[in-house]
Amino acid sequence: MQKNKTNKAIAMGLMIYLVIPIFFTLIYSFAAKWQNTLLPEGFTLKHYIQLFTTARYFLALGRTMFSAAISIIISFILLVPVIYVGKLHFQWLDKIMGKIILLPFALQGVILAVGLIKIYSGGPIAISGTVFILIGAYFVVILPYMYQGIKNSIDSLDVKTIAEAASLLGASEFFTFFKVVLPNLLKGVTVSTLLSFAILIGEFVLSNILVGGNYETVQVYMYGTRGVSGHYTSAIVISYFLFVLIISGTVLAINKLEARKG
Amino acid sequence: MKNFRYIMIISPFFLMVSAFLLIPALSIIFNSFRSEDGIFTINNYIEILGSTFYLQSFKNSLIISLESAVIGLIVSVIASYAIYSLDNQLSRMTLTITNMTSNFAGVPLAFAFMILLGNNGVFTILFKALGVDVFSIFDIYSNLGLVIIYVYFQIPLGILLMYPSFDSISEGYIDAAVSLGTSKCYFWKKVGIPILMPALTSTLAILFANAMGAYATAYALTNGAFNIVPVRIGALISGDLFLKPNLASALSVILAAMLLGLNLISRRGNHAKE
Amino acid sequence: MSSVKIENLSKSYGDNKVLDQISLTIDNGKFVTLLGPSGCGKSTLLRCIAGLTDVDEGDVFFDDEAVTNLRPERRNIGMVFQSYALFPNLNVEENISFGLNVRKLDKKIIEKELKNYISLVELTGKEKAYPHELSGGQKQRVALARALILKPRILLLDEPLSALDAKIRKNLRLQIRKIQKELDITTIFVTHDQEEALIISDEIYVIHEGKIAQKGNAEIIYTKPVNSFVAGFIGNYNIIEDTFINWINNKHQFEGQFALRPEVIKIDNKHEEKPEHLTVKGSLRDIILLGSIIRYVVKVNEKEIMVDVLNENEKSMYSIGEEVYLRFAYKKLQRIA
Repeated sequence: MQKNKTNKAIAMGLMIYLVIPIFFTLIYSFAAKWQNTLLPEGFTLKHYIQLFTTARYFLALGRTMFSAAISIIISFILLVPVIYVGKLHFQWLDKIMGKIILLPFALQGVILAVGLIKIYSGGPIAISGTVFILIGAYFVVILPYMYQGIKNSIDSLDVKTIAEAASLLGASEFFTFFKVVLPNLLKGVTVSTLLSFAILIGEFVLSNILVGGNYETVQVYMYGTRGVSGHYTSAIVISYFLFVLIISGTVLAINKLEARKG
Repeated sequence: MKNFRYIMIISPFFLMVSAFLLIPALSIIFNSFRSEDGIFTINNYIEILGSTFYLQSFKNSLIISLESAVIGLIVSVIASYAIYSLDNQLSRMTLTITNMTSNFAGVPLAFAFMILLGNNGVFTILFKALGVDVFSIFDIYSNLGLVIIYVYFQIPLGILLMYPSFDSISEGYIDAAVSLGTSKCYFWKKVGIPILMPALTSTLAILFANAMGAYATAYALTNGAFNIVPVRIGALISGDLFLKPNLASALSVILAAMLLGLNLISRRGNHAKE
Repeated sequence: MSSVKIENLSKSYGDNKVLDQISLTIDNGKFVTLLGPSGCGKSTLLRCIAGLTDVDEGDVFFDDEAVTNLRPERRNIGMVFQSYALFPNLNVEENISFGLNVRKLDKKIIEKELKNYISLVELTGKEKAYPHELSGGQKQRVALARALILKPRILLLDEPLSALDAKIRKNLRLQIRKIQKELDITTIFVTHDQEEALIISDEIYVIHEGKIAQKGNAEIIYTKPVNSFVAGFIGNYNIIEDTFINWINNKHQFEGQFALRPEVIKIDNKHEEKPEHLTVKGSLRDIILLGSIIRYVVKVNEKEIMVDVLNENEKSMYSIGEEVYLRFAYKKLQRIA
């Protein structure tokens, strides 16, 4: 019993610790003035009103979502055939892929930026400062997560037998892929897609160095407001966190649903 | 003929990987051995090894990463065990909060901590009212401050990595050990910790790497004034001062080698578990 | 429905010869089982017949038509897999009609066929269920209907019952046999379970190390194993050397290796001579209760011999360590080498 109390206290302490920074940022975002006093001097909605009437903020959010979505779609479209063909026809592909998905861990954030900026700042493909270089970089960032998600999904499908069964029933490989494999994949990769999305929305270093003000993402915009007003910045932080919350909440809900079904 | 078709449909992926991953990786290695004038040299590495400034950035990075990883690991192991031992409802709630805060890092996290512990931070004022000067104890803009912020994003990640491995120590093991007349302490020493060991090393390596590569938090906290390796690299390719992309490449090669090493360690831990 | 003929079929993976010069003929409408331990080549043989695995050498004929180089989808065969291989995103109806839809048949015909085959496998009422909502037995019946609805020339069953639990397995094997007889379809069934093979088949091929070890109907395979492998695999045969028999008797001279079924040996507590029988003394080492059978393990001159007796008294008549006499007829000794 005593032990259980300790465990409860630890869990409660952990939850409070994790929530504190977000909680006070929330209060701060509603505070009219909060300097040199213990409690805020009045509350206001003006920071949120300011935020929701700032077109630049929504444009930045839109750019982030657009570039994240495009890179996830590209990643999915390019990865699925590789993993599928690797599973059914080229067993050697699996080993190569295992090595490739290690690389993004080494070429993390700023290191990837070093490599990309050198190649694409000049020369025949000068895409530095455009959305294209950002999408390419994002493709690399999410590669390990997307790969694992799609691979797990394909592995759990037992595609080899499914493909054999379908071919014996007279279906072409093309037909089987679109009618059977793809619909199952789309369901299976929801979690890794949302995870990738959450990672990309939180991405700062690549967008700051590679495109900066030329294609302002929400993180770069957030960083830029640090000099304006702490209250306004905290309103951005909160609305950003809510956004991430919705995404991770969806992931949790899906996981729970899958667990119940499984 | 059929193989040709398969190669056609997988080639776009390899094109993309080459353009944005393989060629950049090779270019970093290649450029790290070139002077800014384009001559082959190992001077970049010599410059790093001879510069107290760059050596200090490595020292800072390693110390901050190690400290935050060790603290993060200890807290996550204790918390994971507590969560694991608790009844369903509370443990689920704790895990949900852990999951949700695990994405709270980088720029917004730095801002949140500035609101808490900055010059006019909520806690700073609170402590001042209590007659304590926070900055006489620690400065959020110092190494220690950074460790405290890093620990905040290490803990949720650590719990998400450690928690599942407690499932491999079933209550049955403990009951079996106790029924064999051993103490719980003896059980943990001989069975529990050895079972958890691979997960512990693997989690430590991931947390370490996570902090080594982190850029945004430190950058946002001090506007890029903090002397850690990722910030140094960033400054050499995008700062307002003179740019030295080849020196940045050399720093990158060293950092990437460390990150790769840590990743391999974590993978070995994971395989041992299976 | 078709007959199947296989001539000198060989298949290797690297240095590992999985099928070695296999030849066999299966008549129209027969239920034939390929029986053997895992890794013996039985599944590979089935996959070669289906066209899912290329052969190195030899030919496969359906009704004297060579199909060796025909792609699997052109062979018009139905196949059921151990792992069911149902399409998880399609419901029962959509799974079963998959092949008909590929062929773009008229909707009305599809509906009618669907109804027939769903009732054939007794899944009426489950039309809209998804695979994850079905039990293992139901899944396998969907797979069976999905294969049969295309009216294949041959039905191939690759360990279809192995993933199911004992009770469902017994019911489903009877149901499969019933459907097979009803449709009169040539069926090749692969299993490693000898009991299953003996009950269900018209003819059994015991496969060992890529070769046919023995063929025959259930009775022949069970009572007349041709070698020690078949004897060991099919039942709990006692394998007995000639030296042992010659040591017991002094009338006849035996030569070779022999199999002796445990249930043909009589156990007794007194010595009794019978014509054309052998009697030997031993000591009882163990008593194992196997439900309706009691198995005695008797040690005779350093050799342990198993004896099965019907369990009538719910209690062993002998106790461990006791001296007993074993008796069996000469003609029950099955020469295997």
